[in-house]
Amino acid sequence: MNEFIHQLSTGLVLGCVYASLALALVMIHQTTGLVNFAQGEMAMASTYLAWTLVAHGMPYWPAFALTVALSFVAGMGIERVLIRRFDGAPAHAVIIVMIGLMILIDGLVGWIFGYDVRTVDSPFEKTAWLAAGPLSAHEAGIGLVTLLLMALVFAFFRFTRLGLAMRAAALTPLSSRLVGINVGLMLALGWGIAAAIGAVSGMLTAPIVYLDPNMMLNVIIYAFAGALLGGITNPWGAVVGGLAIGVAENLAGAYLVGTDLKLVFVLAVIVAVLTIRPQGLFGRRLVTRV
Amino acid sequence: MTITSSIHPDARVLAPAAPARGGSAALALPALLILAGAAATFLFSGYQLLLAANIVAYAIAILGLNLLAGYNGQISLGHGAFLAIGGYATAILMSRFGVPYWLAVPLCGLVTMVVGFLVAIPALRLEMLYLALATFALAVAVPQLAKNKLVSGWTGGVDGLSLPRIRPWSALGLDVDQTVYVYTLLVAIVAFALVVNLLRGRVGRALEAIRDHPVAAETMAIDVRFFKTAAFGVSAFLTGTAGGLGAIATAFVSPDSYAFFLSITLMVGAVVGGFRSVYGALFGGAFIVLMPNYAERLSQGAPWAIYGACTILVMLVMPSGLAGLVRAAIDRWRTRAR
Repeated sequence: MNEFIHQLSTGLVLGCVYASLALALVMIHQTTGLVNFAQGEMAMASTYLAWTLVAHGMPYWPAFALTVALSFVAGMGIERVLIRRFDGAPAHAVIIVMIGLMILIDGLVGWIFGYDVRTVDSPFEKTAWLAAGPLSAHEAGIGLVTLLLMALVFAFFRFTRLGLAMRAAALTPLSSRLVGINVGLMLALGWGIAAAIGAVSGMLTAPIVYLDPNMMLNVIIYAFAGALLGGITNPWGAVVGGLAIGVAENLAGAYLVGTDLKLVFVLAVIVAVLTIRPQGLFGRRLVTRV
Repeated sequence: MTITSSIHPDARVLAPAAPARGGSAALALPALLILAGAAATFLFSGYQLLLAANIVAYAIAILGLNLLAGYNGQISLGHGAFLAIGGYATAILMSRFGVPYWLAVPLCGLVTMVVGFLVAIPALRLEMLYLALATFALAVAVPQLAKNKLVSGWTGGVDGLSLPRIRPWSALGLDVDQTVYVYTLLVAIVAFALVVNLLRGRVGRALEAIRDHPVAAETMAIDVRFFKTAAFGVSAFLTGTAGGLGAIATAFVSPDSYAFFLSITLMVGAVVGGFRSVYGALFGGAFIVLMPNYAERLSQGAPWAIYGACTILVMLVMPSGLAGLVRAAIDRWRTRAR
């Protein structure tokens, strides 16, 4: 029983990481209608940035904040400079561009930093009092930060004018323009926020999966699965989906298929969701007129 | 703004359709390529021939991907899986069952084609973005599948499988490397001829119609499900055959040979070579084999950065890839000669 609770709690913690990355994916899907294949690599690059700052002597939390800010700007920049150009282009074009972006970032980070795996200290080690029950201090810290992140995002969209404007721009771009909302800016903000969320996700994951250019490759697959399972149109769905995938992956790895088939299990989940219920558990079915 | 771009938003990104060049002129280019390919047998040796064989094998794989993604609009980010199936099937047939290589390669193509048909069934229901997502996940899962204990009795698990070295065609005076290369070239000629023939006629037009407007295609009595499934099957056949050829060239397969990035590499090759072009596959194959050869001296990450940068640049500036560039150059040369 103890073992089961341990697996469950680890699954929930990992699920928090997947949930935060899934939230970033949903953010971009909500604002621009795309699934950002490069989200994982962007998060990884942000994590390397944070690591560089810390390695040069900056204390952890200021480095964290600065990385989030810089990632936000970078995300906006990528949308403005690259993605915006494919606004009217056929569907496959922007997918290919995002794939290109993904390997470009991966290659650049590998070029600059090398492919050695580095260990990263958890920022929560000093606050050992956080450890609760089966969770270590870092795991509890992940849970808290993710909850805080979700609350912030929810509050932003629900209670601020800017959040309202972004929701409007995503829903009806033309009407939003008529009302005076700068839709282009809203799109860029969407990517910026997603990049910032991804940065948080990466920085939280690094102590667990260790820092190397391919660290987010598996995580992004789980995040995709979580976002699809929960519903790519629903931020809450993404969080629930991410948590569910985290738990399912861990339990399946421990009791069902063995740890070396976890990715295959998640692949099966993705295919099952897409074939049986493409809108996920909580998403809306998108119907296009022909 | 030209008139074409106001007719259809896709028009500016679409490559011009292959002009129906008739008669002897149409055969000039393929004949030239075949001659160049044959000449390479004697101009290069050893490692260079291995590279050349890899280029031709990857060209076949990219041709398969082009057929599915470029001509039929089904984006697959998981074609590495078909390469893996083809490679492992060939390895198992040759090492466990003693099948000769010239039979093993077409057989593994057929095996992969069956898998392709199976994959096509759920793929029919997925729109482009979600198909890309699902195949992305497939590409990541493939190495795990190959290592898994259930099949490692067959696949050799983490250690992989060695293939028996093929017997050279000494009657023609060729050594092993030359034999591998010539065999690969012959398979490629057949494959390309088949695909060109397929795409020039009804089937090609049906595939492209499905890509551009599936609903309209259906109303014109094109059996969308049949053609999409068939495209997947043929694409898998080509890529599986390429996987088999690649396995013969290196005489070894392992889960690491088919890591996730291989699928991405194929897509990059298809895009950079020319997404909606048969000859683009040749350019793509050359690009993905030759570029890392030089870029790796800079850094392990350099080839990926260059792949990424080239992909983005091509999509921004030159959507029809290298093949489009060559075609534009040829067209410009022709109009000037008049």
